[in-house]
Amino acid sequence: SDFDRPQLQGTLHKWTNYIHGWQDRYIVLKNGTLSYYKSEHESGYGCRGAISLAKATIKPHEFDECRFDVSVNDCVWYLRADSVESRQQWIDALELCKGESGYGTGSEN
Amino acid sequence: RILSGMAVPVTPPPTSPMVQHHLTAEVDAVVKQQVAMARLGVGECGTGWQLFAEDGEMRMYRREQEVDGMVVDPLKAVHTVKGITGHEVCHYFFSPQYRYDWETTLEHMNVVETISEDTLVFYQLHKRIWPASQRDVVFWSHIRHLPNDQDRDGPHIWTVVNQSTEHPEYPGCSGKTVRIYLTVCLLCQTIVNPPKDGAPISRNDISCKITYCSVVNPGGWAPASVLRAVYKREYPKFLKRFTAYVINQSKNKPIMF
Repeated sequence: SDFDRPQLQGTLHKWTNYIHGWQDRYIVLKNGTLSYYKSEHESGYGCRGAISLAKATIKPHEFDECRFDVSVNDCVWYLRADSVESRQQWIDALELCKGESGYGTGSEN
Repeated sequence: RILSGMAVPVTPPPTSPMVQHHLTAEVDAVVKQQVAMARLGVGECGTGWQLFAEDGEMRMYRREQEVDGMVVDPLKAVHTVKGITGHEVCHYFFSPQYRYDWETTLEHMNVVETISEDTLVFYQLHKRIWPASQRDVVFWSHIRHLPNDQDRDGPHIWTVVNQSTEHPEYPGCSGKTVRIYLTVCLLCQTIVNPPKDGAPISRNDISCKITYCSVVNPGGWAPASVLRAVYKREYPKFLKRFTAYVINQSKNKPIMF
């Protein structure tokens, strides 16, 4: 069904930690959850982390026009797309997903 | 550096390899359990944490609990402090050489036993607070670095767990002092804000998310109202003083990630 299909997926730069800094990660938006994998190849195995978008804040970066931050409480994912257009596509999809999550699970579609 | 003017006693060498020590299994089990509990948010475990103090980023919660008429309210505090790492916070909390600097209630402390580099047994004699009897405590203390299993690229965890224990050289019930029983878990994660255009990470880019959980049975007997009034005042003071100490010690030093 539509509900099981990812709404958006692709490789983004994700801020990891102080040693590795920005790294390419395969990001999947599906069922109101944003998950990430080391690569598309590894998406069949367990994800490295996930956040629910229901109460997330999506914030385009003020100066870096490819970057956007997704946060839930004090957990923040810093993400960078390859282009301004790609960033907009991700932000739109995430905002849409947030809006939907307020009206049930979406599974009635 | 030692404010009280007391010399820090020499830490004895390890008595046996960690794997052979009788406390090894207990340390491992308590650390795992305490870390799991500390990682739960105050709303997640359904046990009714009550907010009792708030100051800037700091929030302190408690659950009212009594054992044999004695207040043993579990405490859970969360705080975010700019400019320091979780490793630094845990380093200053664990290492005996700094204890007299920030633990202002100590009359005397020493390391009774070194189980391993990351696990020590402490004896602490606290200052008498008139009109109560003097308190003392024996506990093992363990420092550990853990990967983040919930977000594998995310911030790692540094923790120090303190747990009351027994030691033949320091039996309780000496008559002069009252023995305290405690379980404390300090859990830290360093949040790094990505610096602009690959610039090196400075202290302006980092902050430390701290969770401090403690259950203390002060021993003896004291009225519930007095104990609750004392911890409401003392816990916020302690956490602010200790984190300010870490900031002060760390500034102008390389970041210890």
